[in-house]
Amino acid sequence: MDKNGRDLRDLVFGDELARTPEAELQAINEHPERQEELNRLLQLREALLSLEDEEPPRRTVLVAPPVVANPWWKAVLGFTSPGWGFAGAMALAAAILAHGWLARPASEALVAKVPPASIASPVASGNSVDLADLNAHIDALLQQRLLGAVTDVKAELRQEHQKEAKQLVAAAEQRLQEQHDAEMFQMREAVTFIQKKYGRQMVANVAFIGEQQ
Amino acid sequence: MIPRVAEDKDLVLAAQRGDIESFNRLIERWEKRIFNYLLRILGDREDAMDVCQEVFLKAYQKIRSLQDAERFSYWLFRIAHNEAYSLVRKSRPEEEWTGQGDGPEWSRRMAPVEVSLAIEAALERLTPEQREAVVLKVYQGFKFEEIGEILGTPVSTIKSRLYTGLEVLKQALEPRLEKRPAE
Repeated sequence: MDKNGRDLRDLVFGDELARTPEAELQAINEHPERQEELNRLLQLREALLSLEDEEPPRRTVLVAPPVVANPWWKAVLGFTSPGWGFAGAMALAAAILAHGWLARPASEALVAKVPPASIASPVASGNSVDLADLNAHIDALLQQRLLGAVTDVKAELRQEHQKEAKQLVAAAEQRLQEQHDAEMFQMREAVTFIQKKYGRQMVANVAFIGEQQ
Repeated sequence: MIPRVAEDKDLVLAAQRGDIESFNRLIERWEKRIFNYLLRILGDREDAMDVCQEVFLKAYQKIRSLQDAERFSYWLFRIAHNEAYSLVRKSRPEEEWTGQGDGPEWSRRMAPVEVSLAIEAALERLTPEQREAVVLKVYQGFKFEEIGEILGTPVSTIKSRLYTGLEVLKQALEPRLEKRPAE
């Protein structure tokens, strides 16, 4: 360290060489030992800095990856594990629904009322498929099946209604009959009571007349 | 020390928004310094080049995590430091990294003048920590606090490593320095 307490290594290799006042450098130069040490450090610095930087043997360049839309199957195959699980669950649910739809009990009335050849099929009759004809064909089939189904449902409802009405009438008749029977029973009981009372009164009257005579 | 801080900041901000060309301009600016830093602490040109590319690739991948764009240079050198030490740990897991075994590689480096060979030989004598302190201070021109930020080491430790390393270099280069006229 010099007389100012400065470490010469700090002066040469530290952060402050460029900011060191000229007067301070001159003060150091006035002391031969410090000057020699300073010169040695400066020479060392100069020697180290003579080692020039090399050029990199090859340049690094980052290239943006081309933006290509993935096909759908890549997106599917690119699922993560939860993605595959979700897709599997969806497929299973779809399979259950499809099976339920296909295995549903067919309405006999509906099937019976739809003659298969009642409407000409445009697919079978024409050489080329006309989408409008096909749609019309499907609409007609649907409408016919719908009408059949509605008629069938109406008949079923009517039968149900009649059956229910009969049951109600029968129940009402039975209830009236029971009520009538009960009233007749009460009537008979009342007549019997009156007859017995009248009989006792007659016996009493006869006995009283006998006593008077 | 870093005359293009403002421009670097703009490029960093653009790169953070995904502009790869801005990052390529940052590579152009910093590649030579990073390469030479790695070359001097690893002592092998191919290793230095490979690690240099890895440094910039990692930097690009992590650029969004850099919160202060003005500190890009220190952040980049820190990545380089970590990558260099990672390479050394991978390639030489059992032995201490002393740099002593790299003599032939150091001597194979480009040596246009005799003094370069002498300096390289002298740098070989330093421990890796001393050599890195010398490289960052003398060759890269960082301030002590900046080196501390790059290495994650206290300034006092860095000064100690630097000055001890300089003593070793001075002794190694003494005969050659004596032949040179003092300024």
